[in-house]
Amino acid sequence: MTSAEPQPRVAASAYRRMEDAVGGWLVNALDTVSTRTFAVHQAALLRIGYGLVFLVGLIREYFNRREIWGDQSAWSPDMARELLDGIGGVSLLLESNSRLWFEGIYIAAIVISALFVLGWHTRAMSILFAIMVVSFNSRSILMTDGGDTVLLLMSIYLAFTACGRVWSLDARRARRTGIRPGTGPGHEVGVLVALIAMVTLGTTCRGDSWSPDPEFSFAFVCRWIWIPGIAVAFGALWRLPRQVEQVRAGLVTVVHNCALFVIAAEVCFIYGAAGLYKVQGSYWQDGTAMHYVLNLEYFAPWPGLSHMLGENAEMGVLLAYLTVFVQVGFVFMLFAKRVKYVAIVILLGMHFGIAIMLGLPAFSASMSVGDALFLPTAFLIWTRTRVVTRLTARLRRGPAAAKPAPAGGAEPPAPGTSDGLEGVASASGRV
Amino acid sequence: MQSPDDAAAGQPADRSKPGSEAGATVGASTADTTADRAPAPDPDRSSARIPAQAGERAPVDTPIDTAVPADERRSTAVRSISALFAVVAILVTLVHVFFVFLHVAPGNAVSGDYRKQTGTWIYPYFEQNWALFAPNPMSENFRLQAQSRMRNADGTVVESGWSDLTGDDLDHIRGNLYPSKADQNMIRRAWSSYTDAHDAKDESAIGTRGPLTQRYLRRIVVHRFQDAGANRTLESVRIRVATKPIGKPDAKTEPETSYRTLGWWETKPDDFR
Repeated sequence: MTSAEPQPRVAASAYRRMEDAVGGWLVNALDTVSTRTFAVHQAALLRIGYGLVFLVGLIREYFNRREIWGDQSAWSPDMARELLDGIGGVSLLLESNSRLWFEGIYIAAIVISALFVLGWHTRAMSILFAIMVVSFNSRSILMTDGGDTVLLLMSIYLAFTACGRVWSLDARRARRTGIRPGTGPGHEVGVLVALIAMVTLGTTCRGDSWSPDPEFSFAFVCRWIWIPGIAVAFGALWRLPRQVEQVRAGLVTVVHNCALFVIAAEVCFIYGAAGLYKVQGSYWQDGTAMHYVLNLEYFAPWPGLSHMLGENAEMGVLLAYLTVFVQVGFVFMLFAKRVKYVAIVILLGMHFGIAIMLGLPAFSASMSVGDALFLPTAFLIWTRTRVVTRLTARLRRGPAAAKPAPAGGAEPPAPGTSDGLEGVASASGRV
Repeated sequence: MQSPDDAAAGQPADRSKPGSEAGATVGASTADTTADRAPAPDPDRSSARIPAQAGERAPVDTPIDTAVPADERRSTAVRSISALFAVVAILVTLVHVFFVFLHVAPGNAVSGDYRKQTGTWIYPYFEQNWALFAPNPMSENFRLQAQSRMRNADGTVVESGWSDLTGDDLDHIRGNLYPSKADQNMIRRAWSSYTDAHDAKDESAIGTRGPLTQRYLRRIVVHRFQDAGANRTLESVRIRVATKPIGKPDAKTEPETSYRTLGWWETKPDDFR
């Protein structure tokens, strides 16, 4: 039939085919981003990593907590409020001047971080985790460094991801019970419990007294309620009609994918900007930058070692150039698989060096966790398996050596035990 | 708490008959018979499960299925609404990435034009600065030193010598695998925020942050001295900053230390914490 058609019609049908192809591609792409949850393992690793960075930091600073964020801080609550009012910042720690409130929030932050690492009601915990990180950052902005900024950004972004789909207590529970997360009442009860606890605490301690203060409670609730509100809406407190449920799942998925893209972009921006600023500096150009960096007293936990390294001109030039090249080139290297891994290995080495030599372990850890986003899933699974196998092998050998009896025990709790956290996994035989 | 519905949702079997699920929601949507056009699930592309390489540990490393499996059939209505959400989410993402880029990149022609919009979007939660040891690393070390005036019970005033507050912090940092923020960031950032907000010549405030940063610095010093006097009151404190340049790599002579000495600051009751 084509031969009989006049010329314009052919053109029109070619156009039509193109239009169909483009439209089809677009429809497929939009379908994909709202049904396919990308990089769940990487997201889980980021959750564990950033959760641990914050948790370890809180524990490390436990004995300095009052000086850094609390009542003994030279940066008093009033000064913090004055600064935050100017930029529209908020902090849970500034809701009350009471010592009890502070200690309560501190313990809550530790507990929330731990639960976030473990992946217990992950979505709820991720939101509370972000609130905590924001609160501690805003309380004492002048105590923060680059590491805290990375953590702050990532904690906010992570709250938008589904970072508990794997390697979490949620995943373990889902496998054990066979109940998929996201349905039915009770699943995000954690959020509600936390909300009620927060408000109750907020109503009870105001100033230095324990007497309830309705005005304060009202202001407190107004300021914070929207966050758990959104969480609850997302978590779906009741079972929705199937189609609404599908729309909700699609929204969760696309938000997850977008947030992961933002995290990836953020890591590239950090390296790109750090590199672009450095190329403008004369010390980085002539390769003496390392000499100056290694002579900064605030960043020299091991002065002897720093001086030794700082005096070596060849090493200095090599490190300065390598740093700039890898930082500027990071975003481009990501597009080539093999080069990407070289870049990541170099960066991890650099961060290890920064952690030890400059005394910045938290910053280094935060950046390393960000790099991990670009590692392949198969590698993450392989590593996890190896680590877990080694650990459990050691753990098993321990008691076995102590008391030889159960060595031959035929039925230790099934294959799942080998993976500590994940528990009796395969029993339910999903998928 | 558990409705029978939930239990049913947990059975892998129900994935094969999404129709029955949809049937329960007749009212929610106008029956959509074109639902069948949803793309067939492609096991390789579905990230919701990890294929073979996970080996025998697959269950642990396999992401859990959510209430709505990735390959469940979706009606055209659902797909359209999802697509709309996706478009909005992608647009917000792009806007965010764009503003973060403008905020983070070294100052340029475009970032100048959009400074106001960028600020609105970025502050306070996405503020960041990645000029790490750049454009040039600091080429000098500073030490914040302070002295105090104490009033004794008998009314006499004693002026102390200079104490090296930075030196105390450095003692804590040395040999420490994880230095505290209190040692590494407190004085360092307090001093840099003070210098940002004050004129180096006459110590007059520049901009609005002047009084705030001065008060912060004073309180840090007071905090270090307040325990020293049992029967004495801390009347005022004074700060000086000793700056010693880091010599060039091939420098033969030690660089000279220079001092910036500030005036006496009277303590306020609220300084003591």
